[in-house]
Amino acid sequence: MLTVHKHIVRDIEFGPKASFRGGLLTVVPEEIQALAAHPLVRSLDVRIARPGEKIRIIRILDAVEPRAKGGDGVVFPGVLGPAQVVGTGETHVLSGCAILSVSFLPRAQEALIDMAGPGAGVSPLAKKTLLILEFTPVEGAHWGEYEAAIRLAMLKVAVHLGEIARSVPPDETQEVLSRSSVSHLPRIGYIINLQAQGSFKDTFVYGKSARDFLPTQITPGEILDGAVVSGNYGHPSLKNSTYAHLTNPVMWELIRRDGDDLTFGGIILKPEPTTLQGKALVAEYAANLANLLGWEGVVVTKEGGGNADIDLFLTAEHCERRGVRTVLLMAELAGADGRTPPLLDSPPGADALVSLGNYEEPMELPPVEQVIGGDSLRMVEGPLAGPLTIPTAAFFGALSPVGLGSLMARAG
Amino acid sequence: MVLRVVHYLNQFFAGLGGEEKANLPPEVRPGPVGPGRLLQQMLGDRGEIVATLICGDTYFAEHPDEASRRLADLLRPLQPNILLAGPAFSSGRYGLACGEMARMAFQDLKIAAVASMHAENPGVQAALAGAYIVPYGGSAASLKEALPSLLTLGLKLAEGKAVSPEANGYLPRGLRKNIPADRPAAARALEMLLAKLSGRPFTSEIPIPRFDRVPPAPPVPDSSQATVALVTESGLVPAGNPDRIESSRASRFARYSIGELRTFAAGEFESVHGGYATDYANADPNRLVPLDGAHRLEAAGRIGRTHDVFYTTVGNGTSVSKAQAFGQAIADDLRKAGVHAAIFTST
Repeated sequence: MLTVHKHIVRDIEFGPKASFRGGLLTVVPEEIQALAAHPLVRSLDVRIARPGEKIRIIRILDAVEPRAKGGDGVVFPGVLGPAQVVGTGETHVLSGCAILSVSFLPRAQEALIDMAGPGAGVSPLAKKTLLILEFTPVEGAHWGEYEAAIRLAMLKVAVHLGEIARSVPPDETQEVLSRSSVSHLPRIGYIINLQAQGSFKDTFVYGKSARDFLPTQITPGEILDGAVVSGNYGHPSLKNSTYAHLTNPVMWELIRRDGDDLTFGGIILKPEPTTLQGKALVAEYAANLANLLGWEGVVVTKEGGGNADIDLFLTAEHCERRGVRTVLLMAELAGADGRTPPLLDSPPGADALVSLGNYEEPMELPPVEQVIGGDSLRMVEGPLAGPLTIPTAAFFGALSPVGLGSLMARAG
Repeated sequence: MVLRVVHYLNQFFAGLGGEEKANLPPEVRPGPVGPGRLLQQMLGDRGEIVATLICGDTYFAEHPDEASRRLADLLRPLQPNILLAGPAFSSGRYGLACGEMARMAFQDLKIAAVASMHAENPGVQAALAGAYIVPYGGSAASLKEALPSLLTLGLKLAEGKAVSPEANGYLPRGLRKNIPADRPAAARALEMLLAKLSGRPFTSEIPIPRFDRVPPAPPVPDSSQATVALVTESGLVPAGNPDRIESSRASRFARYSIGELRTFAAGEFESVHGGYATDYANADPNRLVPLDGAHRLEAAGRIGRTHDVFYTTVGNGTSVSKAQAFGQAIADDLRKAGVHAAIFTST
């Protein structure tokens, strides 16, 4: 069992001494810069963006919800702390805020967040107070090592903020069971597909790339303690950031309803291999595990676009064949005018799909007062602060495969 | 503001005659005509029918593009806020014309536009994706009952109000539109799953499409005589990406002449694909498109000739309709160039 203490952050400010009082988190930029110091990082700018401010943040790589255990407790095992099994004891979480890592990286698909206006409506993190870490590399830095340095720095800052709040009584406390309960209610599990296809498109489980994994079972507590960390910079709206793993809405909804109208049967992590043969194997393997775990139904989510849809469909097909009923969460590829068929394939067995919105629908954005994260995006001509027309897909987390977003598409 | 309304009618409802007048070309008359007078009464002081466009049914059916273009030219200078077409009831040719008028005005001229007809009128299928159509099942004798739904939706659209098939009674257009969900996706997913498990009815939020499957072309009888083209979605382009192919959601493909080239040199060609790490590909672009290999096969007499143009785009979040259009255009080109076979490399 994991006890989660939730501290609600209402605002963040800079100050001479770190503290957390009455929902106000005070941080010292120099302390954060010292934590992130790395030979490949030339500079780190620390900034704050609040909901409603006319700020556009670009080149977002990842986000994380701060947390810490204190003492010998480990969070982000295998990446930050030693690779040991987590998910028990007490974890302090700062909700209402997030840390963003921002930098140029070659080939990273450029994500943005607007903190005000229509863009804010579709950016899940625009509702949070954001601590932005904007990194600049030293000249000639090896991109892969620089990227790892950014990830490490972001997680260190996440723990640092968690530690600041840990001594304060939490706003809420919740217990999360590691072992599923026994009841007559339908037993429902959750399969999380992870994109892990090499550098810059990777997901780490206990610090190891999920690339060559077979599907495996994991507890919600382990995920809440940061056993799954993102290293994925493709598809701003279709990837699962570290924040998305830590706050996974499907997992939380299952925790909430466990014993109410269902039994939460557990979680399977499953990679999305790059070959069809590999995809078929992990799909069947996961379906077999789900069946062995006694699941009657399963929610399946994905990460990425195109080939990731095939993983979703194959998983549904193999689960349904074993009598495990499926529901899939999916964003739609319906074209800018909404006219294209919204799916890439017509999969056997996949008859229950939840819509997360149309990827390509353009959004008209009014001008902003400030842009954080750089001065250009490949997809934008002209000044970034000006009015823009941007596909929904460019918004960080807007079509989040695990359901962090607020959109759905329908026939209109 | 008094809204400017234009009404579209066929020759019969305009009172110009029956079949004998069905060849009338498009024309415009000031103010309301025929059923338009009743429409004007219902409009009251909210709007004014400034003109009526009329076209013979046969004329429209036999020259649909010409009729649509000429009617657009008549409609534009009237500067209407709303175009209303019909009702066409069950009349097929009239329905096609009304559907096209509503589509043309809404899509091409960006004017609020609605057509009314029977749900099974062939005009519905022809125009539905791009037009608002309100169904009316009654007969032409009950004109008075058919008009309110046409008018109400037209007014709503002109005011820029949000509309939906459920609330406003028009036929779902099959277009996917983003809306804020009233409940989180996770909650909707679990409710759908519980319904599915208990055998209760549920509806997928995404309709399952049916795709056309393209049967593979028959094998090339003698590859040593064949001209072979290289086609790729790997994003390989000349350095600098002259045609600015997007790294994801590509809106275009490009063709590049490779007449004298025997291999793709690093630095002269590069990948702009946003979906994979391109280092190894850029170090030797032949890994993406095997131009060197093709020429080796050509030298060995295994293939006749390597086509001197290669085709490229980025397949990364590309919509099915775009991919289909690229595929058809490339295939047409290859056929015209006398190419016998193509190698498609994908990433």
